[in-house]
Amino acid sequence: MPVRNSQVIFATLFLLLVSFSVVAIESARLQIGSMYYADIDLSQLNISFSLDENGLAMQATAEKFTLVDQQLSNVALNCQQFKVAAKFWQCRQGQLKFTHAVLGQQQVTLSFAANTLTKDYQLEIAQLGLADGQLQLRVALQDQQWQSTINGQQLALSSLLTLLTKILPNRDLTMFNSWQPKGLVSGTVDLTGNGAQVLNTDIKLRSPDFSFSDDTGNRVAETLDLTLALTAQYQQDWQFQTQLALNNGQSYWAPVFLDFQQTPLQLAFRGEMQPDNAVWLLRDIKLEQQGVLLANADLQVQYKQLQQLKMTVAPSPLSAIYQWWIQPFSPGTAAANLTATGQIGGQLEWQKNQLQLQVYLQQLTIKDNDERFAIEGLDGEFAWTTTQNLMPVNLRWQNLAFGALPIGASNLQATVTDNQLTLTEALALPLLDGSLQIDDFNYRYASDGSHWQFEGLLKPVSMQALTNTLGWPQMDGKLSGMIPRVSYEDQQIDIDGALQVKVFDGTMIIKDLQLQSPFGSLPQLYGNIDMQQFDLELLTRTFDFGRISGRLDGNISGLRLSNWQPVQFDARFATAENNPGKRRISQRAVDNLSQIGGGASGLMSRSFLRFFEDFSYDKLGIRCQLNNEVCQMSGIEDDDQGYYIVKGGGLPPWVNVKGYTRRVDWPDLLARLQAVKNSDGPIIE
Amino acid sequence: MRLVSSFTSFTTLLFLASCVTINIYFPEAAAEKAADRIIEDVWGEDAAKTPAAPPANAPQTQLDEQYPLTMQVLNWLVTPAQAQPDININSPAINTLQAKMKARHEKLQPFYQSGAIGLTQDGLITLHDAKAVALKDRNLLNTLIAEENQDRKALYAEIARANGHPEWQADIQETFARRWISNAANGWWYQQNGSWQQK
Repeated sequence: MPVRNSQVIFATLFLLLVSFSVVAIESARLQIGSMYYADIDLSQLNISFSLDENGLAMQATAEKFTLVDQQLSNVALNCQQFKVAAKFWQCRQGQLKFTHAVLGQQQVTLSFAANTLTKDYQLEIAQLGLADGQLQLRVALQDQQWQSTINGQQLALSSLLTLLTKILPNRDLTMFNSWQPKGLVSGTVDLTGNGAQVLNTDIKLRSPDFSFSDDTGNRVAETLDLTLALTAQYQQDWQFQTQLALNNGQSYWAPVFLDFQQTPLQLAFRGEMQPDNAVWLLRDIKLEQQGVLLANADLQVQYKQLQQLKMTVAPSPLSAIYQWWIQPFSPGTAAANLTATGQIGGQLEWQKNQLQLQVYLQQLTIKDNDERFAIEGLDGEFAWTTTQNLMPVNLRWQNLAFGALPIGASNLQATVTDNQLTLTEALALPLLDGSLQIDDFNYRYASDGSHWQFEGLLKPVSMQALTNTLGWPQMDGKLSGMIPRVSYEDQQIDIDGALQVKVFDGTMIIKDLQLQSPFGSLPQLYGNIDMQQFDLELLTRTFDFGRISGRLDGNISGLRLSNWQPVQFDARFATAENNPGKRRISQRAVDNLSQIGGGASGLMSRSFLRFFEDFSYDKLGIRCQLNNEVCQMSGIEDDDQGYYIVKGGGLPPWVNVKGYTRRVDWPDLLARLQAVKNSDGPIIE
Repeated sequence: MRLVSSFTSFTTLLFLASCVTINIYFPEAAAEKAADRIIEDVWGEDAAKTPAAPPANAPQTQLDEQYPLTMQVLNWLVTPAQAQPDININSPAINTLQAKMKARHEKLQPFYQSGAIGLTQDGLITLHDAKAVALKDRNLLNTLIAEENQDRKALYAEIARANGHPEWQADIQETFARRWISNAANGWWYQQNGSWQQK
């Protein structure tokens, strides 16, 4: 634009002036009613020349001056140093006043020089008041070659945009307006060109408080301290070099929030723009976010779509990367609230539908702040790809923990291809004094989320160590299991097969385990448990329940734990049908049982039975159907008023324990159990 | 003749039996009461105490009206507790969620007040006006929204499960959605028919 306009201005001025030969001795005056030339329309033009000791002076006024749709009125040019020769015109430090509908009343310094012979033209306008700041414009034209410099000081972007909208009503500035740019900008734009073609651009801009926001407020920057340098050259295509520094202010580009005061950012790249096929190539991109990351990248964009990206990130502190770049993408996931340290770096290659990622990990420690999992001393390389390429994964760690369960140092070897990770070697996870061996682990990522599965073999873990770790009453025995398949899909882990617990000299089989939303608000665990031939003597000793001998069978079906608390089940325990063993029950156990049954407490201590240490029984059993915080209780046999928990038999003395309350408040029952555990024994009156 | 009569009683029995399954409907009024109890606890003073509207008719009404006599017999046969099931919201899991949501509400409250967030039509919360939030607080708010929604979904599912009807989850969520909006304080935003409204 400036090119054509300045050409026209010059051409017009010169034609105008040249066409009237000046023959005055001391002063001369020209008056023209109106004239048109090309895009120029002048009315009431007055030109006067005077000659004094300083030389020739020119004064020109016009009522109206229209140039390419822009109308100036009350135009007055006063040129004290005016030179004129046959083909040469010059005005230095002239004063130009005019009024413009949008720019208002202006008084600018105007200099120009024109040589129509050499086709050499120069124009300089200074002190143009614009958008609360000032603008200086210098244009030089020689034949077709031109050069222009625009220098702006403290231009208010919002006012500038309002001005542009008014000056160029036909131009669509929605794109700029929709970003609501604000702030003061100073800087220089140097342009050189040939005819209508711009050949070189050199832009240097600085703003101490650049802000913008889109309509939704999801892409926002506030008071950025911005320094931009851009140079571009045109040789068939556009070549450009850019440097951008952000040293203050904040931005939010949903969901990434950056604070440039805490982490100043520098971006530099060179590039190429091929206008014919709308391709942008950006090379040697160097992005440095101080204290966070240093990345080098190349990318290609065509038709405003990213086509290709290659990026390398130098080893960077994971704590900062997590804070600025990972956490914002993780709300509501297992990674939402972590403490992470160590160094992480890697490289990424992306082109349409093809991703290849390699990440190098150095001494990472990642801990869930809700203490659901943790990993320490994680080293190695991780990879991911959507292509058919085979990429190795090799991870080693010192410690791993799921809840309170500690897993020792292990080494994971796998390959990744086509959105899948497959173990190449069985993974042995040391668990207390046993281990969990994982075979055929396969992780797959699909559009509907993550899927994984494995075969597991749990080598015996001592219950003593396990119960200690979990803070349960100490039990002896072993936990082991063959797990044909553990699978995860849609927030649910299914465990086929069974876990076997050898405990209390009997066997407990845990099966049909299913865990829903393990990292959600309320993890749900479902399962069924069968118990056979528990030695009651060992069991009662463990739970400090008095002493009962004999063998016990039981099952808990339809078990549901919500947030690791039992909320539903149907549990039955009864003397084993086969091999019931020697059946004796101590006085204290009887009293405890009757308390739990909700009735007949103290029954025996009131009777003569209190003189006996223990009793023989035929059968004992209890059932609790928990639902909705209520335990529906029953025993081995009903009678009119209640149900038998213990039915006497064998050699006397023997005793019956009967329960009367059918519906027991579950928290109340837990409290009773706790009370029993803590009690010193029955009070014998 | 005897054959006919026994056939009639058999069909009546069949009919009654089939009615029993129909009779287990979603206890709308009880659900609203339960929802209000939770909402009043979570929101505290911010909950505008709006009495629950009379519940919409339960889905089985058509059959009811058609066979009022049968239903009367049925109500006599089936214990009232079954015919008018209550909604229990007293379980450790529900209490935990409720306590978490209550604690979180202190942080969410200013965002409701400023219009930054609003209530959705499906009983969740979402961002309403990002501009009302300082840039540095944007991710904190995103996290709060995600956590709150996760807890709300878990709450709806748990109430349904705890009451022995996992299939009620959608109904419970729908009831809560209405009650959150009814109980919302003045000036808070909510979605209705896909557009934002202010209380």
